Amino acid sequence: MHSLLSLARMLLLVLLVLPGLARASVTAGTIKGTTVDEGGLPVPGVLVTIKSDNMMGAKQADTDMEGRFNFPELPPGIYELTAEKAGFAKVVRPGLQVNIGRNTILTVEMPLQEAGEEIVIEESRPVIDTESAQRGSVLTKEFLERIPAGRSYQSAVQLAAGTTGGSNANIGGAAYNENTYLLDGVNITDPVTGTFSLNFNFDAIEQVEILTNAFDPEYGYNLGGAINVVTETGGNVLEFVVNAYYTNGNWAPKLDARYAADGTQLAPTDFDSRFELFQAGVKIAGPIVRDRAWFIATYQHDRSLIANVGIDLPRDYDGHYVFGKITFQPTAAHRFTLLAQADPTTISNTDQSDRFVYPEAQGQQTQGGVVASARWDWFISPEIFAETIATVQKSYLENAQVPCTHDENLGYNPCEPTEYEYSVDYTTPGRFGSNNAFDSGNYPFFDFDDRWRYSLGTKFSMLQLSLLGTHDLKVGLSGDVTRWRRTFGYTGDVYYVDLNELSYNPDTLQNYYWVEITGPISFLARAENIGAFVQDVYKPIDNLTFRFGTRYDRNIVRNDVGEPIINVGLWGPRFSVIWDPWGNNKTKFVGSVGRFNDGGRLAVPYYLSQSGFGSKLFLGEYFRRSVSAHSNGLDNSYSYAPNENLNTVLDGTIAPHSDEFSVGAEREIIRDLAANVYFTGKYTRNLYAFDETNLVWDEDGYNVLGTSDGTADVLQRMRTPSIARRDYFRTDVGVQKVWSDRWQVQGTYSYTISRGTMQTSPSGFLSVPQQVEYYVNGLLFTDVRHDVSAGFAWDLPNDPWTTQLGALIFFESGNPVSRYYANGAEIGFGSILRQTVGTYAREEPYFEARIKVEQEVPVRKGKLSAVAELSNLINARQGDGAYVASDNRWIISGRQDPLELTLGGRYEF
Amino acid sequence: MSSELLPRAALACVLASAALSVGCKYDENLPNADLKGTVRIPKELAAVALSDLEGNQWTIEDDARAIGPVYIGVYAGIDDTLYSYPHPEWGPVLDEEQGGDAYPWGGTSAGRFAWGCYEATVCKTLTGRYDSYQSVLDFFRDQVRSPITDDLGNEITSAEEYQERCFMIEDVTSDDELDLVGPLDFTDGGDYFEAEVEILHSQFTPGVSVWGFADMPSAAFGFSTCDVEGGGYHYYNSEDYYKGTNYRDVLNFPGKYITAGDLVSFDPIVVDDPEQEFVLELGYKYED
Repeated sequence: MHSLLSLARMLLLVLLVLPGLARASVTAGTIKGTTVDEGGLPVPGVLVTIKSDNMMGAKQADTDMEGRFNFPELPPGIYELTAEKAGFAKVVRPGLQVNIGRNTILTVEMPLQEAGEEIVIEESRPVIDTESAQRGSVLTKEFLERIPAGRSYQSAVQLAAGTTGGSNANIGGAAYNENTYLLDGVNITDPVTGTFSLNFNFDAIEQVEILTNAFDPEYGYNLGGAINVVTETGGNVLEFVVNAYYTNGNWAPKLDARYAADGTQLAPTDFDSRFELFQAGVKIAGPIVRDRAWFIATYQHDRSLIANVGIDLPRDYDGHYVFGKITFQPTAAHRFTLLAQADPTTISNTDQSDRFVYPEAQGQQTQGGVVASARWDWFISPEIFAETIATVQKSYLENAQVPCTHDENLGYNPCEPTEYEYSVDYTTPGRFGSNNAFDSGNYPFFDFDDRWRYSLGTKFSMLQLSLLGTHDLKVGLSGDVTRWRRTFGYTGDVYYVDLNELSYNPDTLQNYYWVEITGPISFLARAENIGAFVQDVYKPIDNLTFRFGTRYDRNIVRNDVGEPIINVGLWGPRFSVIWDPWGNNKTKFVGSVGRFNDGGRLAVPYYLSQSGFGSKLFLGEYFRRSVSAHSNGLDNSYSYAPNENLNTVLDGTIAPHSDEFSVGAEREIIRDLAANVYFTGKYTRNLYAFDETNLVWDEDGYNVLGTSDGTADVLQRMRTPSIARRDYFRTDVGVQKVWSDRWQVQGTYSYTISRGTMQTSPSGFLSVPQQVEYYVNGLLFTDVRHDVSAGFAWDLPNDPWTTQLGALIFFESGNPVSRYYANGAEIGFGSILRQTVGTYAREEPYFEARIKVEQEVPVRKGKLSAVAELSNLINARQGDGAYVASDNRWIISGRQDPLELTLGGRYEF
Repeated sequence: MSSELLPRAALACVLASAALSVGCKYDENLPNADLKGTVRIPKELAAVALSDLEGNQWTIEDDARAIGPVYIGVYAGIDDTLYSYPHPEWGPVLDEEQGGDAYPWGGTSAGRFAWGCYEATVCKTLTGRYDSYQSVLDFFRDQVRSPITDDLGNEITSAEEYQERCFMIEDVTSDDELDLVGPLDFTDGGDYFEAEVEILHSQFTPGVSVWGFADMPSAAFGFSTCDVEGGGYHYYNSEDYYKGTNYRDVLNFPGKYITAGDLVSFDPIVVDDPEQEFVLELGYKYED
């Protein structure tokens, strides 16, 4: 225990010794508890020892005068606890699950027995963390391996209550681009889009933590949730795994379909929605020096051929994921970790928006990135420790069309006889066609996109401080610098003609048009973040916990000339109270409030940079027929977008923020299984929105009657209006059982009401245009939905021929699809939309069921496993809203997810 | 410490919740206002004289369906010297043929061109003028004396057919979405046709002027503010036409579009208080 003076000294130490900036990381859990005698009285002086295959060496501590012990900062995994004291029997508690950011709280009863007698207790594993109010789930490696998640942690993320959607999930009523993604505590969220930026090696994952609501300040400031992936570290035993899986979705009928304007399902299409996936991986992990240095290295290859609905050509995805980590602990006080992950990927035929993809339009996209981090954990004492992490991340996206060739030996993309080969010039601003036009030579589009993140920081923890109770205090400082360079354009001097008017004549300009890029073709945006947090876990009495704290972030997002577009200070206070009324760790009541913020992303200055790309459209005679406005009358140019970007940001914009409250209760109703009920409300306000500033509209915001500045340009402006908002209310009822007796389950039913004027926080331009705000005067959508998610794993008791069964069920009652129409005035950057009366239709309910069987076969050295997994058992239609450009409106689109069969095998020793 | 602390903790929780939920009011300080008012058109001026190729002449009287789109703008000031009627002040004159730009600060309309369900109705039908499809058919047959026809020249006589055609052309499933028929803009105010209007989100400083005009139909029931080669494009089998829409600079260069028979507000409205409702009377009929 430490006094307030100790606290002050430690704070001073932080300031003097650790001046660096750091992002807080949460990669560990805690085992804590009390030793009591058979009468329930605390037993001091008990030697408590914990050990795990995931931890270097063992840890020991004597219980204090209150019989309490505390082991913080434990790598997640399975632990065994031993309690010993003369006069008492030696008690062993194996199989204790330690999860990321969670407390495993025990009451260890010490029977009076003859010394030397050992009692092994395998009953009643802690299932409720009675010191935390955080909402979400932790998916352990053991559970992820057993459930049919397709070897993708993202498929299992929906098991957390309040999580819907796909690989970029919507969490807690927020948009898909409002989450934080962490890898071993390192923020790897895409700095541009706010989505996940790296593919992980499934075999390297130790645990995945999904935080949906009420999370502590150290997790960050985002409006949505946090997905925290923690990887394995290796161990004292050499481990080798090799595996291969093949998934085929073509062997059962596919019923892809599109839907008419009134929601009527049209006849199933005859498109070949091909679905094939091959995965292979290898993992090797083990000791470099026993209990001193461990390593893990994994490689995973993903190759898929998947065609979107209505698209003839499959998307050829070829990914290589490489992961490596070395953990070095020279002394008990210091641990160093080096981590690197890379995911170079090649995707062929990237343009799947149009099924009529011409061979000459085929292209190849390379994407991926690398993240590398160095971490230092300093265990100053059992109750005082610090961590420092430095991270560099680079991701890239290169998209270039493949020029045609007359070289028949190459075997791809042959030029038509009248076409000429083209050498792509990525430096000269080029010309491009539009609408149904295509070039008479080839289609030399390119897009190079590079993103960087540099992070540095530290966190300092002091536990068991005494001041009117006990305090676990954490403080942290963090700093991020992100950059985004994008270069794109169309190269060359290429002529374009309308497909419907093939009699073009470049000499006379008959039926001929082109667009020239007139501005720079490269763009650089950057952002800086400095953040700090302080949080305390205060226990005035044993069965009552207050978690409170705040974080402050200063975010500056700059445009291409370095001007701050977003410059906001974000305060994020959080407060929770957790009450265990009977003090036995089997019940808790929770209440929490907090503020969460959005600091912006680099996609925003893309539209607010001083320099625009600029373009000039030239028309031949045929096209000039329709010229009615904006022709300059001087030559055949039709419209001109200047190099200077005229978009602005309103002075005094503030940061989007959510004020959230949550109340709930959890109770262990049978051994190792707890039921929970929660109610969460979230008020999100002042989201980023764009409107136009110079257009004068007619009575219902459909047509433009004039412009206040007399120009034909549309002057867009970013704002954070109060009307850009979302309200979100969710009630959860669920159960959760930890792994014991060879099975585990978790499931939740959620009833959600959400409404607002924003569906997503814009990574693009379209959000709440002025006429939606002032002409529709209504909420963009009101969503009342029911969601069920459940995961189940069971090992059949037929050792040594262990058979593992797993199942996943997801049900979503579907989203409403409001009817939007492009405005009559087409003003570029995607037409501004207006909403008409009411809700158009709902997506059909979505139901997905998966099962998995894995049979282990012991072999002479190690074990062999055969895996069979069936996905989309009921072949449910996956509804989706889709914008149909030809009809200028949103409709319901959808497809039947094909019945997929996965067969695989794994060998490990 | 004991469990008696619990009520205090609960109170603290409630207070913290209240403090967070109240938050801080955020004012963007936009120099904008919503202006409300009424547009009045004297019935005697709303009479429309039409003629056909055979030289027949007739007049539509006391029928608000004949009123063209009414354009209302918010301007810095009104100048009586530019035309024979008050006109918004010009900016610098760069093109002598069309005068200077009036730079509207805001505006709205009463009625807009919609929908070109048939090519014959392009730039001839407006929102807020008809309460039923039958009313549209009747008006063009009986008053305009130019029945609505399909692309083969066959007269459309069925309101249901008209509706279905519009739904098909516009991909809509309800009249509310189509917005061709429904609530009427103008009501009968005795000697006037009156329409309530709201100028939303206009730039505003005290002393701005509200000014407007009605684009009344020509003798052939055409409208000078409508661009027959603008708006959405319809291409289906043998049909190939634009659906028509207003020119996008109607409020920038209103003088360019005001033609004989159009009604202009003669007495400009000066608005000092955005809460003050205006009454804009289009009491001047422009004649060449």
